[in-house]
Amino acid sequence: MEGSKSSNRLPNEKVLIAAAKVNPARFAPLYEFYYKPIFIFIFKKVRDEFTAEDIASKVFLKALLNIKKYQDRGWPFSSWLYRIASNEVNMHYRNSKKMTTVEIMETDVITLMDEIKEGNEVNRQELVIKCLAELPLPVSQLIELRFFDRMSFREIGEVLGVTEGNAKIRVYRALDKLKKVVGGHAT
Amino acid sequence: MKQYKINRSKVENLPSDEMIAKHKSFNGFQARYKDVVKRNKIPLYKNKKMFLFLLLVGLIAYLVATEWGEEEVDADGNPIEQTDETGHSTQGK
Repeated sequence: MEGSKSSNRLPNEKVLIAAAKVNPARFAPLYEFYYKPIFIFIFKKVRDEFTAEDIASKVFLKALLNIKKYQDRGWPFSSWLYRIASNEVNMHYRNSKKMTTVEIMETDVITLMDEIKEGNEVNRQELVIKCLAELPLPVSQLIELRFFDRMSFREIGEVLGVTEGNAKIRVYRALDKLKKVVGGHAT
Repeated sequence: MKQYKINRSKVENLPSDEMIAKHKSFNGFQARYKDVVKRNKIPLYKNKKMFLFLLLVGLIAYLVATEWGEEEVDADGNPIEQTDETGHSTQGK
């Protein structure tokens, strides 16, 4: 599951960020390069192009408004954008009165089922994803990042602003919580 | 509020490049940024540095004004007449 979501860096990224800090018009190359991956990341979670556009716009706006506060800690700029995007999507879930349906690939559900040793029956899959929706947003977000966005622990760490080891611990704790909820429904 | 739905087909429903290109507009984004920056301009007194500067200017102005208005008085409380180096009164000049 070693994805390359945030490891795909823009050449001369540091120079471009420094330029954008001085002149917001110089943000263009960063916007052009990262718009597509951020839009797709959001679209997969909201399944509506206009909502995705609105959230993506907010993400880049927040990034540009706060770019002077951005500090390079060795992580790619995209991980900061993914972090803002995750927060914005969570805010959208909280504020939206409509139920948002997140579509997930069966192959990803099978990987999740294998991880929590729940077998692969269709009924069981439906139960697991029902339980996943019952988890608090920060917990389900960890599982989404790992299994549905196919991020590595290093990338999850970059998005959450924690170490790779800490990201791994958080994901496994989230899986334990999911297992408990599934167990509670099964009994 | 969210719920999950399993996509059992082998094809992931992702937005096309055309759809993304339709929404990607740096000019539009820049206009929105300028609008937000203009709208949310912080008043001078809410800027910490500017507030301290204005406070300092006000304090100096106050001290200068009080110093300027003070009259020197002698032990009996009568104002001391200001004289120049030739000994002539400067009052009324």
